Amino acid sequence: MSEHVTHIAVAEDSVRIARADPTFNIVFRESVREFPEAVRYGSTTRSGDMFIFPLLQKWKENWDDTPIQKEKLAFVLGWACHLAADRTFKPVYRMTDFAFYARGYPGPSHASVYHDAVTLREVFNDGKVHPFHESVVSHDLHRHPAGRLLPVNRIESVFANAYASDLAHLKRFLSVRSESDKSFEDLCDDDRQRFYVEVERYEEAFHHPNPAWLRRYIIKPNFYDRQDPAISFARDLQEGRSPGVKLDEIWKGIENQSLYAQSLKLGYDFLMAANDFFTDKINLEQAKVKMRTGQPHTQSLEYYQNLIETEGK
Amino acid sequence: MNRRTFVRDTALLSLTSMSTIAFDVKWLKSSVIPGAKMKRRNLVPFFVVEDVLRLIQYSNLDQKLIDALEVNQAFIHLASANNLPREDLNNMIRDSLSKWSSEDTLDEGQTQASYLIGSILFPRIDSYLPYELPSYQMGETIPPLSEEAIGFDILVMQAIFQAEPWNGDDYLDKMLPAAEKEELSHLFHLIRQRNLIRTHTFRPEFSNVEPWLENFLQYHHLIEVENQRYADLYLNPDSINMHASWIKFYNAKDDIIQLARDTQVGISESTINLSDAIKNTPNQSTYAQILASCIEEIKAWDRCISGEITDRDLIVRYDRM
Repeated sequence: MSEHVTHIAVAEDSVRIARADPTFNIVFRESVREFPEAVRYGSTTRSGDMFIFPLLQKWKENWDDTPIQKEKLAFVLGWACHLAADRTFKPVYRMTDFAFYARGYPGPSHASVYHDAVTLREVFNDGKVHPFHESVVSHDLHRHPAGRLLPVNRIESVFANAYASDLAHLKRFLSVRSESDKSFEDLCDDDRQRFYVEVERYEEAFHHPNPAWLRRYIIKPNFYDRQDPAISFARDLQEGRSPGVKLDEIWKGIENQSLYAQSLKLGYDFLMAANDFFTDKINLEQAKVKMRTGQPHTQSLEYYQNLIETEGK
Repeated sequence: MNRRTFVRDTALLSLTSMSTIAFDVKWLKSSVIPGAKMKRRNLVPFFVVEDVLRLIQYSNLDQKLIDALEVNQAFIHLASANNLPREDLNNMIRDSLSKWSSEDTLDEGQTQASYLIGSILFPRIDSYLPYELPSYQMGETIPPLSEEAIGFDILVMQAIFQAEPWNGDDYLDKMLPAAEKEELSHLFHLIRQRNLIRTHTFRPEFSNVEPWLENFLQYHHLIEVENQRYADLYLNPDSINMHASWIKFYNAKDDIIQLARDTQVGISESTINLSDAIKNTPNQSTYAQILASCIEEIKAWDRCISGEITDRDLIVRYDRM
């Protein structure tokens, strides 16, 4: 399972960088500028591999220049960035938190929680930037200026349950399962949104990080480095400064930049794959290769176990 | 770890989920009801279910049933989206009951029972509500909640707030001026944002993704607008004339409501007896009557599990959904 805050961060930064590329087409450019929320929702949606190119194919053949069309396109571009983050970080989780995956423990790994805590601090300025807030991972949102007005601890679960119900209504919930051998819970899991990530773990990682875990999940694997050309380029754009370097220079030596910078390269590549397909610069098969469509995000656990053992020798 | 000893799926309660053993599922034979209308519910029905879960710990229900409902809270709430044809629902009731007699299958039976209990509680709650819930079909534009529906949500929230011991009766004096309603609206936004963090990723509808995407985007626009509407009404609940209907709907002095609020704030030794409180509800507020009615439905399941009534008797109750 991948991480919510980092997915949004990768999508927003990748889109920023793509917009700095003059070949990023005007329709894409307008869509992501006008519908940043749709980019965020797309970036936190799974199964993009199945739908991104079929939708792009349909829309480029019959583009309807309406707000809803642009909003859907913005969602799909965010969806492409979701894949970029997954392809970058899912193997990393297994390398840095192998025991967690080996025992199949529920909930997100410590690695993913610590990634999110760092991106909340670095990309979203300590959580102060929309769609977040510096109180978002505080206990019962008590740091929020209006927190004393609402019994947050008594109403959050109610909002969550109503939200899950509404989202289930948008789907064919529990439909057509005549031959299924799944348990009832697994059948529900195919369709429902589960609220299984403890915000309290985020609060701990953000406000009181464990130094050993910071070393293990962030520093040692070089998760994030402000000095990376790709990251400083994105921050310059985010904060309205003119970047000191040219776009084509930020990818030089990308393999030696941090993991987060590498995810931006992949996000940018995937957006440009969609862009080049939409503008007929490349065909569908070429675009799928460029977006790595259909490739699994991870290898078997044995593969990572061997890698870890090899590294240890 | 015995998975029945902790609550599944509720990161909200700092607890987590585990994988399950697969069982043959033979009770689902057809798809959702074609063209069925779905209700857009406000928060009140979900508040009610939380109160019911608080109250059943004082009941004489079989502990296995109480455990099932506590562990499977997410499935009770999820059943608010139930749209299964009756035949499937009836098969699932029989299937669930057949699984209570063996330790090997009890877990699955409890999960199903929780969903089935939710699937009767929500329509039962709806039938008492003094305001309309908008209906829509899958694929249609999702309708906004009425002013009254949001107003009742706000008033229940405030009743819950007033019960907190640190709060007292003078909390309204601490209200922010209306000029600061943007902050309250933002707080509602953040409550929802934290839910997104808890879910991590959305699951699209695989069968036809584009209509799902349109609905999904429209729904999220709608709830952003509703965050504003909740903030407006929270700061100024008198702006819609609901006083008379609210007095009839909710009375904090009704025993059963008091017991729920005492439990909410952690008073473990209330002087109120649940059975007596239920007996008093016919002449009390609507909210009190809803709580009693919900507990009655759960008791029917209890009687069926113990063999006091048959599965047919239980299924008949679903005819009145």
